[in-house]
Amino acid sequence: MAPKYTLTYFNGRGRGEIARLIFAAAGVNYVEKRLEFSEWPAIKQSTPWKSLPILEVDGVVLGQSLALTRFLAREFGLQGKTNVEQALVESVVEASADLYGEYYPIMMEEDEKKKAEITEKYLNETAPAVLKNLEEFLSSNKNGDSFFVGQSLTWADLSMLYAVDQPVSMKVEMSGFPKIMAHRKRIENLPKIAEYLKKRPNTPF
Amino acid sequence: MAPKYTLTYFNGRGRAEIARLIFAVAGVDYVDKRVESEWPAIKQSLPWKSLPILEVDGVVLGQSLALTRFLAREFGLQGKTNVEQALVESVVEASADLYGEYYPIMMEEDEKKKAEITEKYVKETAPAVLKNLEEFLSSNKNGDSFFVGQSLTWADLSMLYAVDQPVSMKVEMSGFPKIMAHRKRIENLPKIAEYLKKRPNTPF
Repeated sequence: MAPKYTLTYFNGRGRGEIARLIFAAAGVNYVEKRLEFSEWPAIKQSTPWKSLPILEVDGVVLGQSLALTRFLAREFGLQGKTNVEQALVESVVEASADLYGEYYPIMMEEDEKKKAEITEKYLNETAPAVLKNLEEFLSSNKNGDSFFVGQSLTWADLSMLYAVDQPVSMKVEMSGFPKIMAHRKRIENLPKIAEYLKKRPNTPF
Repeated sequence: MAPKYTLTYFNGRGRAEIARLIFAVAGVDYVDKRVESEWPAIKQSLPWKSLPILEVDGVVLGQSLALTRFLAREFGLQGKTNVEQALVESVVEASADLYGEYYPIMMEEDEKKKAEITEKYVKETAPAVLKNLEEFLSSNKNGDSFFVGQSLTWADLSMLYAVDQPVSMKVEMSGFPKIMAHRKRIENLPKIAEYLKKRPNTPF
């Protein structure tokens, strides 16, 4: 039987990656379409929000990365157990989005001087401040030695796996965030995640 | 009985307004705390060092969209199926670009820079986002109903707040007739009309 879901994005992690981690953790098959930048203009106008990623399911095209990613979290029971837990999960996702929300403009900036300025701000101010809050939040659940929220994996843990890639790759000083770094290792070593990471293509973003 | 929910924000609409619209539509009482000079004193005690926060059942929820979505679910305004919820949330996410770009403009002190980013918002960003939203709305009952499905969801309330921004910035709105008509319909829902009448006038 053909997979029920088709995820379309560029050939990179970016705004498609948390969705892919969710599929991997859930052990669910899907059609993964990776477009080259040259193919994008031809299909852009046909997408609901003129952007990628999109997720096709049951004849519906879903757009907006966090909306479709959250949809998948709910499909596979990774959203959190109670309404309050779901809100706690989503607060982690929303806070962690500042780690890559600030990162993308840096990657796209062509003016070298401006790029250096905003890189400095990210490295020395934004990322450390966000990571500090996330470290505190994590530490408040089982001393930070478990999951971000509750007693089992949620998409907050997967969102953090992706989000923390950014400060790590930018060489932000991570020694002040030991619980986050240990959490990262635990999630990377979950069997289905480890298998996914082994097979994941190496891409520039 | 004391209200179950306490919403704390600054004295303005901003990142708490969609939550207040949800409470209004649901007809649910809550404590609407507005802080001013006391902000530095409470900041460090908050989970994300930011407002708004929502206190419920002894838990403090932060991050505006997370707590707002929580309220939408509490009161059945999130959409009926999982797909509908995703469509609702895609509208909310897209409309957030209307005020996400607006806030930095309000905060910019350098007059020259402010003029540049205002121009970009008014001429490029806002019209592009509104065009997509107009198309999306038009695909549901020709745009003469709700944003998603057959009944009110927080997508409609989110849009009510979000479109305030381009309107106040005098973005040309004549190309978005369905959105403007939708706005009027939502503003005229009895519980919303009553809320808007009583809402304090604030700078933001």
